[in-house]
Amino acid sequence: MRGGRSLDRGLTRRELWPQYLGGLVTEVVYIAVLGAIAFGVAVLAGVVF
Amino acid sequence: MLLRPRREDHLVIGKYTGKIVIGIGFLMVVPLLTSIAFGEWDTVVDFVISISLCMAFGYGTQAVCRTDRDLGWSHGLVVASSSWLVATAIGAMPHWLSGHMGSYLDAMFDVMSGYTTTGLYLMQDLDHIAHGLNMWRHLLTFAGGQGIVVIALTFLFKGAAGAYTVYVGEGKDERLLPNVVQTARAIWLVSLVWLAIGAAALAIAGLALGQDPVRAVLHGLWVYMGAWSTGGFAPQSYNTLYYHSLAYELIAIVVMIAGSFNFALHWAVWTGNRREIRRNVETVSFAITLTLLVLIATFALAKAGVYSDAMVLFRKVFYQLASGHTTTGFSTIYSRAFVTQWGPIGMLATTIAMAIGASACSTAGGIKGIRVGVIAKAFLQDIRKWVSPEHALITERYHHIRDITLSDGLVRSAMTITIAYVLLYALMTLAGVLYGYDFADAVFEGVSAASNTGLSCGVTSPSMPEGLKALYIFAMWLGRLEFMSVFVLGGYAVSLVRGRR
Amino acid sequence: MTVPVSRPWSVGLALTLGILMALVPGHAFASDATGDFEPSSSELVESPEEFDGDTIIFTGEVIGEMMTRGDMAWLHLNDDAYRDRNVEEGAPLGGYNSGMAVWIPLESTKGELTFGDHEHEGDVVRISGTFNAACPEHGGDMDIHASSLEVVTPGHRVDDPVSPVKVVWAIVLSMIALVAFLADRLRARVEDTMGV
Repeated sequence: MRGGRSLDRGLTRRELWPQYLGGLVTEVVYIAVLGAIAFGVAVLAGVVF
Repeated sequence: MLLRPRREDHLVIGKYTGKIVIGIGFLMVVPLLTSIAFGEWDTVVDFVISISLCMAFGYGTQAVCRTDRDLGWSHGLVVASSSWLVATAIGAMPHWLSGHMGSYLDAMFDVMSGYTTTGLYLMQDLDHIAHGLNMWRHLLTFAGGQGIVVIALTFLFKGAAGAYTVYVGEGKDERLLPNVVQTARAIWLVSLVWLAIGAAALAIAGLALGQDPVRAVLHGLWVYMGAWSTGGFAPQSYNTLYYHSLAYELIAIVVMIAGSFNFALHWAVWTGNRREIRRNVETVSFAITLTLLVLIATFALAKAGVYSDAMVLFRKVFYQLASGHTTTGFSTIYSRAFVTQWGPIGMLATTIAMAIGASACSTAGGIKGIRVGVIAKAFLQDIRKWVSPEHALITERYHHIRDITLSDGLVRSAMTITIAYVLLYALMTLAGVLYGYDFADAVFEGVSAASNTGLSCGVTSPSMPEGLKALYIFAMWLGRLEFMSVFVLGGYAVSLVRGRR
Repeated sequence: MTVPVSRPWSVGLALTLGILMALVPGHAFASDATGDFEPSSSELVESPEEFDGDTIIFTGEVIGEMMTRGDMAWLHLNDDAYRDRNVEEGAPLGGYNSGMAVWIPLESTKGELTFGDHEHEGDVVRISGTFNAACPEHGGDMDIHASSLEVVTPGHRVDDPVSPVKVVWAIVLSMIALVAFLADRLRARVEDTMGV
């Protein structure tokens, strides 16, 4: 089980990378949605006051 | 009943604590090399002294504590909590030797704040410190976020079976992969990929903002480390206000929110389970509380007329609240501006955000989304029971990687830790008030320390009472390790004196 | 971690000043002979509304770097205890850094400025401009929009000398570390050969 050196070779196989990066993009999109909601709130508050 | 520990117990604990301190010594090689590269010879000597101390302590302890026994459950917890203390005591050496700290206690405050990814600091004249020391500040916060133990697991433990308990003792209890060492490696993989992308994005932004290439790269790396570890250290005393840039702020927000995700969530999303990000109890809980608090703070600040237009409101409110909720502690306003500009409602919203914190098994602190989610579900379940016919069977589920049925045991343990956090917050508030600070300031700062956030409203300063500094150090340690291993260490200490043979 | 204001006594002073200002109409007492205000950064942070929109004079050490944006630039001026001499060159500790961000036309910064960092004590410059408690143009940042800049005291290179005492400590401690390392290895080898 012990792959040696710094990272397990099993985890850094080339065919896994598209999936990893896709996951990373998903995370960024999720955070962007949170930001967009906050921006919407700010616009609303700007209109109200 | 407490059993008095035997000689073998001390040996096991000593051996593994020694290993972790050796790990800290190796970590200091990075700032040492940085100082050599920039010709900061006085700082080089500081790091040589500190590395020698780590090695002397670590190898000395190992030589004395020779044993083949593996770690038992309570050993692991004691190793986790005690190694954080020793690592703080020795890790404070470079800070203290730099001449920028008022006392050794101040230096320990900064280092504990770094390891626990809090971000409060007492360093004076930060704007004139060496690159090597700045590297150490940010590296130790990055290391603390990853988990000092996770680092030791990856490089030093060589797959000891009992290592899992040390890992749990550090407040991380998810197995991403069946094997704990592989789990540690998966955590590294996620963090290093984010490091490459996040630091590069910040460095490019810095270049575009007019920084020279060397400073842009260093600042990019350091701000990334501060954000990903939800630590909140930054290379300049102006924190991230220094950059005056929407782009820089947005990248920092993305990194700090990503850093506040549970590593199990990262791993699920990265291995193809994309839907997990909107189904997970912690992301749902985080999205709800963040949005509610942003709503409150935005309307309060808009009504008070502090910020003029929507863009300004968004940039200030979302940044400080995202920073507070992820327990990062970056800010684009002055500390005292929380009091002089944001006022009670803004401070209250930020305090609640810090108190809740982000995800379990991440770099973040606070009560954590999973507990808030579980308790909220349990609350709803009870209400549904009251309004349903007597014999109706009401079950409640939450989703974390898989669907989990709510059991009383689960709710109970979530409640226990939540109550422990609330008590710690209350204790820190009380201490602040007793030392003569305003109630709102004392709550804000006390919660900030105990939830490992690091936003400040001005209470923390080099001339604050020594007693309060010590209490904040204790709160940061307790909050980061989520009580259990600290209590076990306390039990170990008591059993030394009073335990049964 | 947020941007600190210097020492509590100055916070206290600023608070008192702020309260006084709230009581006294205008800031008559805060003005100097020329009729311009010269508040410190901690006074500005403590009572931002009082000074919002005022023309002020601000003096401080330029820190870090100049970040140019088109024909404008950002400067950061520290008016803290390290304005003239920093810790690396032996100044006593005097609390946190404290300062203000300044937005200034690039052409007013003519000539090379020395910026404060580990190797340098920056130029002390005096600027005059409008203080914004929450600048609408810059995302709500607290800043000063300056029109003029003059160097009051030129900066200088700072040498951080290596302390001989520390070198001795470094040598002694690394020897001890080496001994501990060897002791550990030796015990490990002895146990291996003895099959413990």
